[in-house]
Amino acid sequence: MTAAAAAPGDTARETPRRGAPVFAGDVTVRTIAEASGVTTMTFDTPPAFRHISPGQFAMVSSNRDGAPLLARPMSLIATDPLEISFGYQGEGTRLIAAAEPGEKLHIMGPLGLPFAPLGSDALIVVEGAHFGTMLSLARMRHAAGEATHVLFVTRPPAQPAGPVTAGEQDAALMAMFEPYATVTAVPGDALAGALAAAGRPSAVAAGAFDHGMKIVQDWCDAEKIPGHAALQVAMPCGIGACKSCIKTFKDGRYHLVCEGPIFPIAEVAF
Amino acid sequence: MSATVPDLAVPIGAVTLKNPIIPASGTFAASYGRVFDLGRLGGLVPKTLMPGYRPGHPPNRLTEAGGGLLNAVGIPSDGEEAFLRDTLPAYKGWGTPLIVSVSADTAAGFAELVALLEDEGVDAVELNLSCPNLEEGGKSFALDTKMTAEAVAACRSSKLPLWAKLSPNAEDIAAIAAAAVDAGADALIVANTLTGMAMRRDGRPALANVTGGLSGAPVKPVNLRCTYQVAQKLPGTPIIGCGGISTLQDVLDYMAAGASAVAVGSATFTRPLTMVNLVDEIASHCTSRGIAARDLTLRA
Repeated sequence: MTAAAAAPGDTARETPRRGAPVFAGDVTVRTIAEASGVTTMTFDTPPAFRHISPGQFAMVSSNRDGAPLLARPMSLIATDPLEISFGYQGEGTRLIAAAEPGEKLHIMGPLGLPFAPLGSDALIVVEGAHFGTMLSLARMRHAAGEATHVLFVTRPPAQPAGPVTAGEQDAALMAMFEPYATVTAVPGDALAGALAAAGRPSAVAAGAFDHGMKIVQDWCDAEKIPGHAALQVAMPCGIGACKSCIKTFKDGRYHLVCEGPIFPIAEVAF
Repeated sequence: MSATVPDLAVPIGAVTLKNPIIPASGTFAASYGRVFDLGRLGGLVPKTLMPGYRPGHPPNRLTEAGGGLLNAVGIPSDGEEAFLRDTLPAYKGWGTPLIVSVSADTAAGFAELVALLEDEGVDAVELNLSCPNLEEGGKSFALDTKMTAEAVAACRSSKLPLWAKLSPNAEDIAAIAAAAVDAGADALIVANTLTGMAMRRDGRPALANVTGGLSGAPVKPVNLRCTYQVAQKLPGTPIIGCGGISTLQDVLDYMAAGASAVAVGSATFTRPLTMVNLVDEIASHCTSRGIAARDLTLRA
């Protein structure tokens, strides 16, 4: 399995254009593995997915009878084969996770714009519900020989996380990052202190709950460090037609998250 | 007509659609051009344009409910200048008619938007009459014969074909339709979403706006009935059926009820290729029967 994309600056890297072709259709599941409520799935890879970058996503849905009408946005973890990884939260993700090898799921993608280059020494701030995008980023950076430190913001251990506790799932997720980055577990109320002790990274990529994002935003602003927010909201269509996946920005306007979902953290109102 | 290449074109008054499948306003974006060739559709319909900048409703704007979709997006709009500069060009050049949907909260507002589009290369204008009329206490234009007539009449000086989009919430939609046609509407879109509501498990409304418009399969029997009633009342007026269309049979049902074409909305969110698949299926259906798409429309 290869990482999602080549390194920033690598001539092989293709920065997806807003107008790049998007695949829509059924794709066959190759492998599926589940542990601690986290499902990792690989697919036969349509050509449109051969050049993807961290931050990009696909809309995935089950073809089974009774499946929800709307697809679910899934971060693209890797290509060749195409890989997604997610914790299931409701009926849509539960049915996707229930797929078996050889079953066809409906996929539309790749969608979204990826991270800008983060430099040689990046910090990732992530919590359980946002891990897919950041895992893709950590893997890509590792493949490019770039250093990454991950502050993994843990949830209250007894909190439910799909079929397991958040404590069990967070431990499993941190283990998924460890081959690609140094990882530090941080309780949510200790995030500000952890950032203060994090040194001075070349850039920050953050995907977490709004309060955590505000802490990261304030720190990036104070330290004059480039920050990038990976936003995550309910996304019905994924392509800007339904105008429903909105987030308020500091300009006072709603912006469509699907037109990111990576945005300069300074621009978002948390 | 060739036996292998069916004639899919359908006339809607002065406008000839390439085939009977067009997007429902509010459910489409030019970005679908990344997924399929937009020129394969019978026509294109951008999201409804309203005067000035409008943020739309706060989130949550859309949810699954009752086997369909419930939305209260609030017609967000960047205003006329941005529409003409950024949105309209993305819909041009696809080789298929362009129908621009407009709405406003006064009859004069409708007229101003239609006038703005007069020389912009638009093939027809959809008057989305579901907007509240601020001059009549916020009641939707589409629920009242007089208000519907006033909105259409205010726009009638335009050379552009006017398609009035009606509401299934109207008590007597055939009467509303007649008022629209008497005031100058060239065609009717039957119909918009049905007002509904959904609750979350914690007992709070699922939508920030509390109520919203129900679309998808659950509204098909209602809007099909509306189509039939309007077709019976106005046998000479072209109708575009809309509501819960995702299969060939849905298309055939609406055309059997009197529609000349159909608008597809929610199904595109579920399967983005629904519309182009329907075009292919209509072509096969017509080929196998040696008929043209326009022959599918049944009128009393």
